[in-house]
Amino acid sequence: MCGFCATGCSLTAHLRHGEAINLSPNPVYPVNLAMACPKGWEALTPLDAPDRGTTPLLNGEPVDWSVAAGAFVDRMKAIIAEHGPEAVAVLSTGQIVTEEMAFLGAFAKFGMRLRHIDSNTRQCMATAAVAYKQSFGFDAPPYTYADFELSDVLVFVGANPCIAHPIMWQRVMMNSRSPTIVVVDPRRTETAMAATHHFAIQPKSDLVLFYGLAHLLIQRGAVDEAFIIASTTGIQGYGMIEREGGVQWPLAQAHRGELKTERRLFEDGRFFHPDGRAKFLFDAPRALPEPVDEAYPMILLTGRGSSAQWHTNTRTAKSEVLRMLYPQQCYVEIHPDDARALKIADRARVSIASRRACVHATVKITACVQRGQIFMPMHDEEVNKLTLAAFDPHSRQPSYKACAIRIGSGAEPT
Amino acid sequence: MSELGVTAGYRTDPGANLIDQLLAEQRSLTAVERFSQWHAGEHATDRYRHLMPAGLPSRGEQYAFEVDLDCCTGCKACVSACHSLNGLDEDEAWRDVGLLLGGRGTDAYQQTVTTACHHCADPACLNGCPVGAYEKQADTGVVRHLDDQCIGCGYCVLKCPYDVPKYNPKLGIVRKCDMCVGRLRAGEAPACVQACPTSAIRIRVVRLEDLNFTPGTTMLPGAHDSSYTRPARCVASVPQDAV
Repeated sequence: MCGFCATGCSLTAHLRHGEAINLSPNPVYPVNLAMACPKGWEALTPLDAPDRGTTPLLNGEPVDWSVAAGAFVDRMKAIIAEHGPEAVAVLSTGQIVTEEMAFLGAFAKFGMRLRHIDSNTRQCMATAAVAYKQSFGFDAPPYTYADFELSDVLVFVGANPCIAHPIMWQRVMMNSRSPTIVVVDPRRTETAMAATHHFAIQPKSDLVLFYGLAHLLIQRGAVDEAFIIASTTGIQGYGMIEREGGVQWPLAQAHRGELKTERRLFEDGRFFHPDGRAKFLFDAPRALPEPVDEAYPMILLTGRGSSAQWHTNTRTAKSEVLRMLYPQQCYVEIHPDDARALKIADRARVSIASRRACVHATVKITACVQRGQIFMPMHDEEVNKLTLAAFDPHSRQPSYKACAIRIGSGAEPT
Repeated sequence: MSELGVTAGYRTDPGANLIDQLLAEQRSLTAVERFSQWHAGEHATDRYRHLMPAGLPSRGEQYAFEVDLDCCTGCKACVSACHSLNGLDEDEAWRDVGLLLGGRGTDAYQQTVTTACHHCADPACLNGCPVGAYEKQADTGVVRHLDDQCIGCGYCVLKCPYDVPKYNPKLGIVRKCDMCVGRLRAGEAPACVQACPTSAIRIRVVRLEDLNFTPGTTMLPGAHDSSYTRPARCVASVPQDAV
């Protein structure tokens, strides 16, 4: 299973003398349908990185696992004894398999009796997970991958699946119903260019758009509010799941024997709140956490740069092939009118300053960004220095997508 | 040694000499054939059957890559797959991608363009090679680089207007795309064709007479004059105002 994004592509490892020497996409797995993105094809390469951690280090010196485990237990116990369980936290990852994640959680919570555990998924999916939980009582989306192929209308909000999840986008391309594709995104992304309609709304104005849409739906009587209760617990044995060629969602005990590889959650209209009903939640739209002003007159948008990159490149930069597929220097996209006003040439080096840092990047002039907005890929460490630590009050997800910046000339510190 | 397929990390038996090893390899299936057999058993070939011609080109025809730019979303899996399935060196791929930018406002676009060898009807690489290290296959039209004939002079690198042949300093020779002709002959799609999630790359049979371009014709804005080497490449949906 590919360990990059959460699409869940199955990859076949090719062995020679017991050692994996190559990967190819599993030709019959129902998720990726014989396909992989560049990261999947190159998923073995980071394992050979010369700087990969292969042995535990104690004070910077290699030690064997029993020494390391002993030191870890002694030190953690001592810290907890002196400062309490709040003094120790686990920083986890969304890039391990579900069983390992469950084990880590149980180990930290019930074994070490820690209070705090968080993971990198806080930065991308926390708000969606909280919203699902609040609305449906269960933190998972109701649709299934086949819906990309079956839908008459597809709406993508602030998502660029062409680049971020190309293996999902292939399902959209397989849709034979000539679907209407609607993209809501301040930028004219690859997905926006492939869409029927692109609405380049201002950053942070999505809630206003949705409330307006909801209003129209209600006004036209196009709303169906029949939600009926049904909630169960208990996960089926793993053996049955394996026999069925994988399973999308854990199966409730009461549904034993009804296992389907692919299914839609809540398709019976029953949700996971005590009353069985899904909840509509409303909150007032908020302004940008850091609005523009005279000192910082432009908005920096951040997002995925290319399919060959993942997070902050800690793994993808280990592959020479993947490095060939994205710019080696941090770049910034600027609208042609803004570039002209700022007297900036294409491919020039400029400085980008926010209230937190000043970094340098290479200019890419493109009308895919709107005037007054610039875009930088989230993968370069420079970009992380600029972003704002504002947090969603419900999910505590940081709002790294937008902040106020100023562009200057390219005089770089030597 | 196998010209194609999964050769990365190839392990040799330290006890056997080179001749024994080569003979043993010739008696067994190549990596491509093994992969192909295994692959066909799982019906994956159905996925790309429609991306390949039913048979070999007739007289006066040859194979060509066709790329539908409207389908290409820029994921670049074709480059990774070319690298992995052909067992290339870590920094080596026989398919390249570039970016075209154009338009303004709601018409703004950026278009990823994926290219490999155009298997030209009049290949400059072949014409410029002093040692005959290139052949244009009579039946398929594929321009193959013959690695064992190459002296690494790099004339072909200078001659090709599409930057296709690449010098490999580790091997001391040039290497390039052969349209995975071994795969094609085994009924399999080339690596890039089978790896594209949106089926944007396919193999077409083209007529050689359609490759007699008038001077000044280019396959994409900014590309070299097609009348020079007569590239056998079709591009669907070319943006006309690309910069």
